[in-house]
Amino acid sequence: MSAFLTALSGVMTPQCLLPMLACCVLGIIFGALPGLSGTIGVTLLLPLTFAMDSNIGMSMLIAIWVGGVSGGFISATLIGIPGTTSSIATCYDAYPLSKKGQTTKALGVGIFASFIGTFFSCVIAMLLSPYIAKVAVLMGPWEIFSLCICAIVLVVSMSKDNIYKGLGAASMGLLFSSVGMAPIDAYKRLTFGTYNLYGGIDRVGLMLGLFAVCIVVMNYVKKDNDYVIEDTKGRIHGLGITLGEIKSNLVNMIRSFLIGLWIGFLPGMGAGLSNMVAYAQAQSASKHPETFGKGNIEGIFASETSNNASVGGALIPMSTLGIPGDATTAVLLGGLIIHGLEPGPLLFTNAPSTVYCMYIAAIVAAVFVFALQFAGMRLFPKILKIPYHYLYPTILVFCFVGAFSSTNNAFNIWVMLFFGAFGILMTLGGLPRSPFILAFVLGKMIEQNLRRGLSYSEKGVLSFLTRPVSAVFLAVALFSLVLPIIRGRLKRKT
Amino acid sequence: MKKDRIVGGVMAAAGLGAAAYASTIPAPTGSADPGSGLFPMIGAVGLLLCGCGTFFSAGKSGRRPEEKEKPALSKEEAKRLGWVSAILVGYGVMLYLIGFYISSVLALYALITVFSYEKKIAFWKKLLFSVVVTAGVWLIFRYLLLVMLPSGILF
Repeated sequence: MSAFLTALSGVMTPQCLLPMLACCVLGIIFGALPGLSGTIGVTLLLPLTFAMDSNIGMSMLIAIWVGGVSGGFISATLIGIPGTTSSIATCYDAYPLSKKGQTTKALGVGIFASFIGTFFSCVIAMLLSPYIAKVAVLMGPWEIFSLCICAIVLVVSMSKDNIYKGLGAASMGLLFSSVGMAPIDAYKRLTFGTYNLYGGIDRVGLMLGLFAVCIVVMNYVKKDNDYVIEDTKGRIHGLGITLGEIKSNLVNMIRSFLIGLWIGFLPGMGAGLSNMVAYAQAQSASKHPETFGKGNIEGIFASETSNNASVGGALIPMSTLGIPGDATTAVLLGGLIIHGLEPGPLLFTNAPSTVYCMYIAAIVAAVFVFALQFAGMRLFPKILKIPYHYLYPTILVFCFVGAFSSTNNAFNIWVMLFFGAFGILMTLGGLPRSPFILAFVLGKMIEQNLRRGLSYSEKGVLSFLTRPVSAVFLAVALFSLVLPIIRGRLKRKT
Repeated sequence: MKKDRIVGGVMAAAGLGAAAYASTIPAPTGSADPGSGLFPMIGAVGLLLCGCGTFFSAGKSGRRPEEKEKPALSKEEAKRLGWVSAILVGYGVMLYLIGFYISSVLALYALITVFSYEKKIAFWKKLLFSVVVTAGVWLIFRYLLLVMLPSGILF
């Protein structure tokens, strides 16, 4: 208790709160700009915190991270381009809703869901992290492999029109994730003789191409720029959503929250995965699944609650086991080491006030981000008043610079352009992008855990079926894949 | 129907090519590790099977045979795609050769011109906007975010 109070008194000082507020603003900007993310923000800020008090430094880093995860939905809502991988699923409904002239409502749902996700996940993380972490260590390569497969299949099952195309897109994602040095033995695959591909395809370049370049170019080509600009004068109250809408999404939010928290605390996964899984679950549980992708607020609630719940989830293995939940927590771990602390199971014993400080900072940052986004909610839609022929070229320049800055290499610009063209071909061919991006993001982890699972066990492939948790994940995957097909056949018969 | 046949055919061909490549990756001997070839092979076989599935299921989606399939892009749309692609590739080449400043002004100017369709925008307005945005992006990335921008191999 004394450690908690020490941490609380450390964070609740103007010396800590003011820099945190500035970092939240910066985090939102980083999250909203395509190509940048909270991870880049944390990386850039890290050297500036060297000379600071460790509690203030860590609080600032966490503030920029929370701002970055939450800010990603702004560009997803306004222009249909996810600021980060954590808001890919947000695009599907927030952008169409915004195009219909309900930008403030889409933003309001995003702000509310983001706050609920971050705030409660951090509170739960603070209270239960030592207990939850004990469960996390029981997950072996078999369970992680099966979970990843389950997540991909859940997203594939969203492409009900043609399941072959969904699975085909996922297979392409797996193939592209094979580019570069293989895990375990570092065998160079599909590098075409260029050293630029030894490390694999950069995720930022791929995402910018597949979403930003593809969307901007296709909107121009198809003349699909008929945006309904919302008149917000005196019409919007509060967050622009009703209590009834929140009540009707309560189950959806709780489910998405648990998905986000669970995925967040699994090593290597995070908000990039949880938003798509929660979206797929919300769609399959909805009474009106056909309205998803056309501006249904259930999709925004699901995506934004889950990706922000992953913030608290990712803090659990980081603080209790010294294992990063995602890329940002890996950088934060580096920050702990720089400040003279040793991450791992003993961190709670050696520096309990620092651990509590991180949780409190995340909760305070969630409140700051909520207040900042609420204040800016009526200003963000003004971006859409910029004429189309000025807005889209500016976005494209930001994409080029974002792709370059993510690796400091001009090669990444070509990666972005390649995937821009690939995204256009996928759109024209009717191939869904979600299974592709998810399979690409998880590919390396799937391969690593598949090979580890096969190497560690004498039972070979059977070991994935004989371990109960792994078997449950695979059964859920199979069920999700077969159910829409059976439903479709039954519908046709009746 | 025809579109799905083409998509399925391309997917199957790509899957076949990837499978042929994956089969050349050597597998380790005397170890339970299946080697680096297994994973691309899984992706390749998946792509091949799904390509075949897409190809053979084409036309079973309920479309009546008399319904004519629209082309994916009209002539006008294909022309617009060609223009914007040329500008983006040109911008990429210019960034590599002459760096951020001049290439961004030129690319912005060209993009504003094509994105405004038939609408005429004054030369000075386009140029002024291009210069201001380029300067703004440079200031944000160079001084606020401390990120280097491409300087070009010719300078």
